[in-house]
Amino acid sequence: MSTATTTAVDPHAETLKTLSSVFGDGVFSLSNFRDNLRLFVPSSRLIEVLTALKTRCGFNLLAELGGADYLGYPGRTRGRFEVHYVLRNLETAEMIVVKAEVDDPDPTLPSAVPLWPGADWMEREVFDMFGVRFEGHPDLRRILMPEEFVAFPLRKDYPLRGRGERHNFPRLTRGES
Amino acid sequence: MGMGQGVVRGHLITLRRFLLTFWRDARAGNMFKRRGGGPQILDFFRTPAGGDEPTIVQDSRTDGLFTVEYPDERLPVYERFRVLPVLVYDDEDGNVRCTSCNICAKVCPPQCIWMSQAKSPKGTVVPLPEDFYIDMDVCMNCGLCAEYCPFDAIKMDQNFELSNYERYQSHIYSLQDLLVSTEYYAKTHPGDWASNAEVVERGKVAKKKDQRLQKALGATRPAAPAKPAPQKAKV
Amino acid sequence: MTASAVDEPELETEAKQAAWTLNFGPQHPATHTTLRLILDLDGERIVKATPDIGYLHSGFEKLGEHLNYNQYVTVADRKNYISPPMNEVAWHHAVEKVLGVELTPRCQYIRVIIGELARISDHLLCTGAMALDLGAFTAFLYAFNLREQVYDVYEEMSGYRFHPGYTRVGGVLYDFNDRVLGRIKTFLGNFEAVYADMSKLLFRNRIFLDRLRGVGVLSKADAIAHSCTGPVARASGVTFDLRKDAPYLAYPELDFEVPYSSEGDCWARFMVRMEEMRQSHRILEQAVAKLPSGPVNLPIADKLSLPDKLTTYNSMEGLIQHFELVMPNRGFETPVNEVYAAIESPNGELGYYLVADGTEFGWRVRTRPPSFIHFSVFPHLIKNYMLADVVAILGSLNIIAAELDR
Repeated sequence: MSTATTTAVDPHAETLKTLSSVFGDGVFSLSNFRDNLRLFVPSSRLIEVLTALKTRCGFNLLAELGGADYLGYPGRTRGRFEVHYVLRNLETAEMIVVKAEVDDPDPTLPSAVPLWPGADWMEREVFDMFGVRFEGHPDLRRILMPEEFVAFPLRKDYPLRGRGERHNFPRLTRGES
Repeated sequence: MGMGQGVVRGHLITLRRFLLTFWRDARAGNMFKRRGGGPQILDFFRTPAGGDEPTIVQDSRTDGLFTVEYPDERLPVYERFRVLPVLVYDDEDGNVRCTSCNICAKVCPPQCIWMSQAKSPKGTVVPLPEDFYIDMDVCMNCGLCAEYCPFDAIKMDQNFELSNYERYQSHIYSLQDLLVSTEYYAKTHPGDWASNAEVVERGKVAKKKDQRLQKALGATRPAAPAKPAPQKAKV
Repeated sequence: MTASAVDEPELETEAKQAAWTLNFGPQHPATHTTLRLILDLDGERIVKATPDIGYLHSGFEKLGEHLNYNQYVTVADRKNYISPPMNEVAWHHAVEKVLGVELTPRCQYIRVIIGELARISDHLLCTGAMALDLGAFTAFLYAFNLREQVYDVYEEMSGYRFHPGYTRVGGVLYDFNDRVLGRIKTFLGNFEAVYADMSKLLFRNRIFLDRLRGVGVLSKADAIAHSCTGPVARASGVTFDLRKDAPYLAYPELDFEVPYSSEGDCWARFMVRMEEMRQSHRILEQAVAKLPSGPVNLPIADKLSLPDKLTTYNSMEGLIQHFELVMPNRGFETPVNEVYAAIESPNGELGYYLVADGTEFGWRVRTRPPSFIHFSVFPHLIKNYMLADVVAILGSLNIIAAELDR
């Protein structure tokens, strides 16, 4: 477990210096928890920040992309949804989490597929589960749920046992199939 | 090596091993015995009764792999092996250890346990389950109930032969299906039974029961809580 | 598919491009799990592959919001069911990072041991089943027989062969005893012979080599761009391994190497997996020798792990702690914060993005499943290869549908 490591040298110092020289103040805010450094970025500047991180700071691996719904989260002040991008620098093994908030009614974020093709399915999953649309995504369809499904199951206002969608599906009889 | 010679050689090795197994068994005097140990010829006329099947150890020290002729022979089960939960009652007095505290029902991840607490004729609660159900189709044998139980009452059974012909009623185990005696539990879990924790706890409970008995004998009016008489209903 | 396409041999090139559409799966013996591929074929050459997944979607992430941190281990087990202990280690790694606890040295070693056993077991199945799909049945049987001994270890330590449910927050279910260690040593002793058998059967097998060499080539740049990790990325020349580069548990104290290859084809992925098994074997031997004594679970004062029965029954602190953990509205106290923690699973980076809300339930339990990400590379890998290469590439990626769909 590397939770308690508070080394004197900040592993993120170089990255933060580069980022602030590119963007200055006011574009992103920082927060630190355990060994995760989080960067909160407005959705309008998201792609800019991700591009800078990829090209200037060497974060060439998009390790993870996923969403979360914070409806009713204790002490929540920001928007309802947040999408996180975990980036890794394969040379220095540095990890950074970029978080972009997005709110109802039409949650939309720019797509990261032009930067990392690997974001393709992960963005589709976020769309499938939370209904966050990614603009510029080449093929934004549902991935895990069937095409006819209307709800977004990982949203907090969606009950654990579903809303009876299973019973509303059209049924094929043996003769029709 | 020319074409096809390897195949022939491989077959010869197999044939040699095949014949050697007969030779080895004959030399060891096991000609008419199963590799596992049970007699072979007599088996045509007699099948071992349930529970008396010889247990076959087949581990890395065993020479080769052989077929364990289940159900006439069976492999040993490990002590921590867990299948479905059971409720333990004390052998001497038939006291069901469960107090229907609902901890197991709460911790069960798929929520397959539900129970109701017993009531005395006066309407006060008695620390005993009136009924206790486990849906064995839902149970995923994780053992969290046995881990969390603070009374050593719910334990994981090792009986894995659970198939039957009906799908609904018989798959919901009630209190009578679930009760097993401490004798049964001591047989399946010898290590746990002899462990320090359980020995100490048994001693404490026995002492408490003894005190209660002395008190009841000394009192003019014997306090007898309604206890269901558990049957030895383990299949 | 047009009906006339079959009858008329002379066709224009555009129509010929996708003369056949073949449905591969969802129930196909070579997919091993339920996943579906829609293959557009030109003769036997694959023009386009469209994966269709979700057949095994079981809402594991939603369940994570309704089960507490100890209960969820039963679900984490069921994600990659080829190496369940690794999922448990990953899950509780994330939980313990949110809680900010440091495990006891013995527990760290135990988790390394079960994780590496799981890695060997996973790679044995992956390499064995890959050989099976390509017609080399014997190697598969050797591999499966050895896996049986890993299952023996699981059963001896936890009581369950397939889904041990062994780790707990701040510890494990039972401590290792001599019988468990004996079984691990037996397994370690038998490993070399089986590895030698498998390598003799496969490494110079002409048919096997021809079906893997130069098939499904993934370049290093593509591997990084498509977020590949683990053996798939390492077969393409990426040398990143979380055990080395972002060490966790007891890995810094253990000596091992990270195998990689620069070829990027199915053969490289196969060989990287074979070599990783040997490295895992090395780790296991060291870890078993170095296994420290002392307590496994965290002390009661940390208020995380369930005290053992002796403490519960005979001491006030134990009883209170037991009560605290099992009563409603109690349980773990977590910070209102979130963390991403990942470990190196047999398939690649297995991470959890865990949002905690102060209660004992996760607010959001996002899994970063390596199979999901590796399967998204599949359409790029299979393009312009033959239909028969589908099973080779699928086997080399080691797609586990339960983890893929969750």
